[in-house]
Amino acid sequence: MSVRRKLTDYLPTVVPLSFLGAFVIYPVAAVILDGLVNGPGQTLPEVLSSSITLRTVSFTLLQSALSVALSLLLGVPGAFLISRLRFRGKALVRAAIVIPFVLPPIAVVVGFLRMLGSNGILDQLAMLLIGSPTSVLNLATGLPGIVLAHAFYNTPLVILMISASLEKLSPEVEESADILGASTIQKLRHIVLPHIAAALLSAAMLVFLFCFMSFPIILALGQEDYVTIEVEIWYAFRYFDYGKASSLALIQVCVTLSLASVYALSARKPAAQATHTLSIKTRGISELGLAEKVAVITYMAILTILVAGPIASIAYAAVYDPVSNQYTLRGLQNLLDPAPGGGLVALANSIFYSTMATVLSLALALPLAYARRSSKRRMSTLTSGMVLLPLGVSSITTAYGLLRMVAVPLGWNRNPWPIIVMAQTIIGLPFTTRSIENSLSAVSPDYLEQAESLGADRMQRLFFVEIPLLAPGIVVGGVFAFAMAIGEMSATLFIALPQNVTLAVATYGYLGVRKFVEAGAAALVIVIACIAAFITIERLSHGGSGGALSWSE
Amino acid sequence: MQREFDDGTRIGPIHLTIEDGEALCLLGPSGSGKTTTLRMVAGFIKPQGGRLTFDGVDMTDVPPRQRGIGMVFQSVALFPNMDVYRNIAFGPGIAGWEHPRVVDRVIELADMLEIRQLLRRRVREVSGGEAQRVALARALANEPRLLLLDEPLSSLDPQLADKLQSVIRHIQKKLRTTMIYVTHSQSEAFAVADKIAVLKDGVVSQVGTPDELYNNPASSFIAGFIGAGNTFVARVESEREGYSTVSFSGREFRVMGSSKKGASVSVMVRPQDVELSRSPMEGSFAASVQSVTPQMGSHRITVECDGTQLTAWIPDTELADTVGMQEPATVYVRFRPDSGRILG
Repeated sequence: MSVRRKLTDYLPTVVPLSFLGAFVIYPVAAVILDGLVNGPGQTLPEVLSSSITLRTVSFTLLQSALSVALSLLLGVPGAFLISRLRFRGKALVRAAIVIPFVLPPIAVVVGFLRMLGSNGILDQLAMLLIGSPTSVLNLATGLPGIVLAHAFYNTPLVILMISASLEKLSPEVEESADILGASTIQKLRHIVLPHIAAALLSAAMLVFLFCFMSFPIILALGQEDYVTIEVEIWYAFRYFDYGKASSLALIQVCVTLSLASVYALSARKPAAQATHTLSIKTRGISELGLAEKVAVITYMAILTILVAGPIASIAYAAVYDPVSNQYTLRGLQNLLDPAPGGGLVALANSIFYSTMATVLSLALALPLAYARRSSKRRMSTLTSGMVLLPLGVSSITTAYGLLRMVAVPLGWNRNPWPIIVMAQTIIGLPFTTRSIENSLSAVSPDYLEQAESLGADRMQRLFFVEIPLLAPGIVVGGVFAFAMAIGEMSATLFIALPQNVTLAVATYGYLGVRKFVEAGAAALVIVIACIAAFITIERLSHGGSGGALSWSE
Repeated sequence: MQREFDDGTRIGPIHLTIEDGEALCLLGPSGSGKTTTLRMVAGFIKPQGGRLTFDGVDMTDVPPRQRGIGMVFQSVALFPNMDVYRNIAFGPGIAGWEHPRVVDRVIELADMLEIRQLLRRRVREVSGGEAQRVALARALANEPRLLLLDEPLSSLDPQLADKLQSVIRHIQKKLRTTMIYVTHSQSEAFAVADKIAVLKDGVVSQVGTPDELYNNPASSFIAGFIGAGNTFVARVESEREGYSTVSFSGREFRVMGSSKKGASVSVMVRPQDVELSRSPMEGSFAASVQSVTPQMGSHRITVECDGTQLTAWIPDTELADTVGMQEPATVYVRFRPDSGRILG
């Protein structure tokens, strides 16, 4: 291969890889190392032997495991329903299932508190039922709240991953088992479960990873009594115990990166059962027995309460003040208040940072998507690892690294908005890259070869064939970047000075000072932006959320 | 049995009887309802009307797994998570056979189908033809009362399909298994079946042995579908002792079958019974050559006469070459004596 050819192959990926190197690997590694070596605060052996650490790590593992169990418990039946049941509006349900995943955690927290919290909708119903004057039910905070909120997020992911796997199971394989005398249970045991085992494992690992690193939900719903490693890092940084923060970050990175690499390896293994399926075996609702119908309806009801309830409650929270027991437009008016502490600055910041992050994401994601699809194995492995890196590194550690190792030396610490944009870009990058990569895979080399055979040169092929075919994917990637950026709270909360507050950060702030309608209104704006983004994605990618969630493929 | 689908497609009513140990083939073009009929027999599709009985016992509402049948799918549908041995042993295992009996049965079938060396292989490690043998062994392992095969050879290359055809026939005869075999290929149907039911638009057009279908097609559709027979409309001039004299293109000739004098009838003549010559023959009529297609050892020549196309298979290379070079040439056509037959 000529040097020039090599250069044109590698050059486009140098920029995004350097960016990730300079703004993820370097700051994270440097800040951890600095904390470990220079402190101040506890040393690594002290942290490792501390009972607090043991408690924190145990709780992190416990809540992750419980969240995985509940997500699987709720998600697996849903996957069967989605892949096996025929009903009206199935396409809509299938699309709507993804919505929780695109909603920012802090907005979900608002919905959860309003729906399941003390004096929330469910609590008020319960009080009415048993005639109690005081609150009787609070499922929104503590361990139940954390696990339910994680299930809210991850059940859709489980449904999507498992149903995708189920739909690949050839109906004729199941019919063969049928003909050979297998009962429903025997088919499930010998045929269906072995078929979805890999997808189940992938889903469980991914959900575990997300819950292990979850921050806003634990911070807001755990209310300082329930602390995970990520939240403990946040507190350690706030109390300038850099040694402890770095030690914990090191433990966390080791766990997440090993989980992430096991996940990546298992997802890469070609599925033995990836037979092409012509038709999926489905049944109409009318073909179900009475017991099955009752089970389906009960399941749908539970899922609706858990998933649709909190989303609808966000709108309710924007206009209903539980402190004064009144409906009010104060929250919405606050969004237009330009005074300090008002919502206008946050709104403007959110739009500006998210737009910047979108542009930056696209610039980075395009070459990365190309490289990930590269035929050169080393190149593709390297970029894959780099792209997935933000999923495995805590956003708090990234934010802290960016602040100390980038913002301070560059003098951006008085107004660190570029760092916020960078952090938001990094966190959404895996999703943006994945969407573009997905639409790239739809561009068959045949089209390009056809264009070449018709006399198109390289530029003409790029502009007249490839880019028009890629355009919807690029827009989807951009919309994903915007949605992730506008909802990002963890890193932004860490970096933002008062003038940099975004809607997500403001929502958390309002909750802390019991300004519930203000929090509700801010959350509602983010939710509307995310749902609008989601609808755009669905429209452009004709369902399937741009494939950005199909990590197992 | 019959069934109507939401999209308006209708299958049936289908009346068929299969004797013990008989191999019945459902033959028809795609969309004729063969596979649906087979799936109704298997129990995957419920008929809306009619009954299915095995040895006089009503099976219409019995679930597939209790029908005691074996089935080979077009896609093979081997269980990807099991090796070849476990695929074959699956049915007997589910049925609760004793382990030694399962092993004996698997080995017996593996020997019969020449796949013993594959027993420990993963499913994805066997070739297409081997996979079909495994699927056949799996379907037979439970000693089914009825074996169903849904276009089992359609994804294999012709040589392999030919070979497996005779394997299937041999095993069916040896085990005396009652079998229903679905295919769209006439040659496959002739190779495996004792009896063939030709399906068209969801109903049975004709049932008979391969000979009966070939020699006595009930309609021009069957005549054309089996053996590529030529059919054309002729007028009956006279009738005597099971033979009729008909006129076509100004010539009269004798055909089998009787009909009223003056009636218009469909007459079928096989391509190999059509004679062509460059000079007039006794009783021949003129036609123009439309196309000449070389076949293995013969030429397929299509001619047109009075708006009717006739196909001839001519093993005469010289004639075909000459005709081909002079296209559109005029040739003279006649039918071998008594080779025509009145249809329907």
